[in-house]
Amino acid sequence: MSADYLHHLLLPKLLLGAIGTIAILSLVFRENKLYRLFEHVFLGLATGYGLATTWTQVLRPKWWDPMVGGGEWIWILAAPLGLMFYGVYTKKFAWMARLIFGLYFGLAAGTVFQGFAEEYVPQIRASFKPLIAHGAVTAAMAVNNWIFVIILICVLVYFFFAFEQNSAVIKRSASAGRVMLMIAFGAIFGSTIMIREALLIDRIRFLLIEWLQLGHIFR
Amino acid sequence: MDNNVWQKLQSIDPRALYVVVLVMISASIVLPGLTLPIIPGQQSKDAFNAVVKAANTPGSKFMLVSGWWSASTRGENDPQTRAILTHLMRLHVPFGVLSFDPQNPQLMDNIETSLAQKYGYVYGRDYINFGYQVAPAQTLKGIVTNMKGTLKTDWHSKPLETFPVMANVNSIKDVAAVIDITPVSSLDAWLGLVVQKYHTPFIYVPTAVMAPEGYPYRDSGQVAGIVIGVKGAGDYETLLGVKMQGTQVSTALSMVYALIILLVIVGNIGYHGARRAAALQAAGEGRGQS
Repeated sequence: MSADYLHHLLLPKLLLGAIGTIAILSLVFRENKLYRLFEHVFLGLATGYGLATTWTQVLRPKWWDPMVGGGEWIWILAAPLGLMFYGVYTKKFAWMARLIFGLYFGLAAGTVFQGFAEEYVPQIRASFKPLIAHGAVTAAMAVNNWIFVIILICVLVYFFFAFEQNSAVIKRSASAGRVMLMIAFGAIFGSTIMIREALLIDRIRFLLIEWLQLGHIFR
Repeated sequence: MDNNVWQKLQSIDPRALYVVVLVMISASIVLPGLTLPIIPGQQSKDAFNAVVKAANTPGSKFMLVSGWWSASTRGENDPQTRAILTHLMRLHVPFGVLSFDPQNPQLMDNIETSLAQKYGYVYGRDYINFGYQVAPAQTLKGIVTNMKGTLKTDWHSKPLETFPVMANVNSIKDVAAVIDITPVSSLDAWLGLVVQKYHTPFIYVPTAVMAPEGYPYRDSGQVAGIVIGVKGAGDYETLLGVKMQGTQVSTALSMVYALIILLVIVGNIGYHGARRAAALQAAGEGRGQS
């Protein structure tokens, strides 16, 4: 083993990353003290990192620097407004928290309301599809559109709760809608497995390629 | 077959399966010859073509890359980002990176810097990192009409006016396309507040678990293309004609998926075999009693 390689293996940022990865992954084999230790290390690091980034990436560049460095003292008003959120922890000042939360909700609701129309109207428009093959609409496209419209109606019928679903047509459509939803959920679950596996592969890749550099040995 | 065999097929020690998964992943990562063919999906092709089209449209070629990801989803979002930025740099497209997670500016910077050296990109002239933005909705509303006024500085608190890449970029009108690399639900914000205004092409690059959220928007044409998770990164690399992390991880992923399918089949064979054996045993006992 060369001195360079040993130096690389013992680089603190890689070594700690590797030990942390192995410790956390060791849980799948058995609950153990190393896992517990690194679980607590991770929680502590995440909290510390969160606090540090709140200052370095939010408060300092967006609030402190413009105020102190740029002379924009109007930003000082943000401090009492921000502190009002903490009123929730005392009975005496809870009204302050309600006030600022109300303001915040109002702003958020207004923003979302504007976005709603822009986001969903094109989708409603797109659900009106040509069902007859004519001109630019080929037979295959028409078949696709029929499938789309039938599934759309079935799923919508499934969500009709305003009246009792007594009619056989309604019952069957709703049942078909439920089956379609289950198929969709199955596909979504497949995607969920995909990301979990990808994250595991990334950690193994980190251990084998970035830390142990096995890629060079086999190439 | 003995009922015990069927039972065993249903209850293989998970730790043995983890070892098999570990060996398969390790082999596909370390052994260079072990790659499976990647056939790019239509969603990835659409995304690729949308970027090419936006780059060739007359007017501003500046593209916005938004990053909502942190180290926790590096496994998927890192290869996606590498593939997308490689494409932008190959097309000589200027771009700006907008982050909505505190970790994201650093992670993006690592990728930008490594690729910039290869493609001769210079910070400030060809690309810029706007850093972490605190309030996504308010930021996105702001950049529609006044990008410099909303973002003000780059990641290192330097005024945007000082960067040549921002010379002709004043609002979303000057953006050729938006590329959203995300592990969270960010479609609502981009589609609702920004891209619909001037029908800016929008390319969605989510983690696999978030991808189904984008399908209805693709169907309605609001999303120009979707690069789905690490499979999408592999697709994109294939379209680019390069083999990077996405290709490597896609191979490992395909092998693990094949193993999962095999184990589901084995488990079901065990389940049905056990039921059949139990039914035969019950029938035999019934005959014995009569």
